[in-house]
Amino acid sequence: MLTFRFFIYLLLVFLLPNILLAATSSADGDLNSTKDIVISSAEGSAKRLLLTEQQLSQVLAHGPWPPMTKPDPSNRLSGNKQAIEFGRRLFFSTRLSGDNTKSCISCHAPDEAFASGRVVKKDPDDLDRNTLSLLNVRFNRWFGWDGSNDNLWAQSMRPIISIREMNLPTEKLREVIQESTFLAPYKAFFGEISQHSDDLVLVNIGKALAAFQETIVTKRTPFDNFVGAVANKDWAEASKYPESAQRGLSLFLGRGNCSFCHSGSLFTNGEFHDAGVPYFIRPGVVDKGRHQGIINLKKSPFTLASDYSDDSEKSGAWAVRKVASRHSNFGSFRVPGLRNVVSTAPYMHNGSLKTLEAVVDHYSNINIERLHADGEAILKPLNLSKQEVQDLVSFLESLSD
Amino acid sequence: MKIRTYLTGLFFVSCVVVEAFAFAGKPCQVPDNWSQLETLQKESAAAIIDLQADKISLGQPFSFKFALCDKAHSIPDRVIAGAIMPAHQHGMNYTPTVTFDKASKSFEVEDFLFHMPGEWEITISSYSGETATHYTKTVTIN
Repeated sequence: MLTFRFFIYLLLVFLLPNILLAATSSADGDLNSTKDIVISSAEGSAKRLLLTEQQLSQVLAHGPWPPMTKPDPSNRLSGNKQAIEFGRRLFFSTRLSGDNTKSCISCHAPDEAFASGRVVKKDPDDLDRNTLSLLNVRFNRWFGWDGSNDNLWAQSMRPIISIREMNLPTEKLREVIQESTFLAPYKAFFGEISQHSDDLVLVNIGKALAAFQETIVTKRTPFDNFVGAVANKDWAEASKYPESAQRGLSLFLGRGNCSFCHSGSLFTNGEFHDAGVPYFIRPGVVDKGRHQGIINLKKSPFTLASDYSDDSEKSGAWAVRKVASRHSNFGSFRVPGLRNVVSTAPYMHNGSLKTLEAVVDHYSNINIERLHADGEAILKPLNLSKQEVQDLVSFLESLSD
Repeated sequence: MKIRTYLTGLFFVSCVVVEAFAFAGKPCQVPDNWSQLETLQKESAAAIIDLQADKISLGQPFSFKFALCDKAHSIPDRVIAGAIMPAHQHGMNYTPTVTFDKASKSFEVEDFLFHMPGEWEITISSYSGETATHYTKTVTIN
C-alpha cells in the first residue's frame, strides 16, 4: 500500500508539471502564440492580427521603407539634379540606338514598371532573358540576371553597344553626342569630348543614365504601413492589414522559406540561386547564369575597382575582388526584389511564368530533380492548397505602391 | 577484488588530474568582446575571435580578428577562414582574406558576408609547420 502511495506521489510530482508545460506549449503553437487581438472596425467588421510574436519580429527585418540613400561615390553625377535631367533625356532618346528606333524605354517602359510586359521569345528577335525591372535598381550590389556588372553606370552602357539590343558602336556614340543637343550637357559635366577616348565617352553616358535611374524608387505600400504599425506596437493599425495577406506573409516567413532569399526591405538578398527553372535556351544552348556573369565581371574594365570609378577609395570594389567562382554558380540567377512585383510580369530569368499564381505554383510543386545535385536544401515541394496560393499572392500584391 | 577496485579508482583520479593539468597548461584569458572557438583537437592551443554576432548585418561584409590564446602567444604560419550554412549545404559567395597584424599579433579576417538568415558555422584553420588545427564557431543571423 505504501509503495502504491509512493508511486502515485511520484506520478504527481513528475508528471503534473510536464502536463502543464505541454498544455502551455500547445497554446503557444509552433512559433509562439498569435497576437490575440480582435478589433472592431468602424464598419463593425472584426479585424484580427494572425501572426505569431516570432513572425511579427521577423516582419521588422523587411522594413523600413524607403531606406536611407546616399550618392553613389563611383559616379560623380549621382544625385545631381541637372545630371538626372540629362540622364532622363538620354533614357528616352532613340539616338542611342544604331538605327535610331530604340531607346532604353523600348524594354524598360515606365508604364510597365520600367520592365517589359512581353513574354520572352515570342518573336525571333526577342532576347533570351526576361527584362529586369529598374524599380529600386540603385540599391543593387550586382546588376543583370547574372551580375556581370557591379555598378549601375557600367550596366547602363551594356545595352547601348549590344548588337542584339541598341547596337550603337562606341565610335558612333561619340558622333551622336557631338551632333546632338546632348553635347552641351556632356561638356558641362565631363569636359571636352574630343579629349575623351571612346570608352570614356561610353562611361560618361552610362553615368548620366545611372543618375536618372537612381531616382526610380518605389513608394510606401500597405505592407510598409503594416511594418510601421508593428514597429510602433500599434496593433489596431496593424490589424488593418488584410487577413489573406497576413496568412500569405506567414507562409512567406515560415513554411515557404521564401524569406531566406527574398530578405530585407528590398525582398532580395541580392545574390544568385538556382530556382529550379530550366536554363536551356534552346536544345544544346545553355544560359550559364552567374557562372558566366563572374567570368564577364572579372574581365570587365568598368568595375568599381577600375580607374573609371570616381571613388578614390574604391569602397565598393571589395565585392568584385572577393566574389567566388563556384560550381553551384552554373545556372543560378539573381534573386529579384519583390516590390511592385505585381507589375513586373512575366517572371523568372527566362520570363517563362506569366502570373504570380504561376510563380507560387512553381515553388509549391517544384521539381527538385531540376536543381543542381549540390544545390541548396531550401526548396522543396510545398503542396500548397488553392487558398494558400491565393494568400501568398495577396501578400505579394500588398508589396505594390 | 578490493585491489582491482582500488586500481580502477586510482586510474580515474589520475585521468582527472592529468586532464586538469593539461587544461591548466594552456590558460586562455578571453578578452572582453572576444570569444573562444571550438575544436575537437583538445591538445591544441585555444583560439579566440573578436566577432560579436549581434553586430553582423545580413548581406553586408564584416571583419574580425583571430588569435591563438596560449601562454607562448604562438603565431601560426598560415590561417584560412570560411563559413558554411550546414542546413543549406552551401558556403559564402565571397572569399575572405586573412592577413597578419604584427602590432596586435592577431590575424585580420576581412570580407565575410552572410547572405542568408539562419545558422552559420565559421571555420578557421591554423597551420604551424606540419600541424593543422581546425576551429569552429556557430552563429545565428536574423
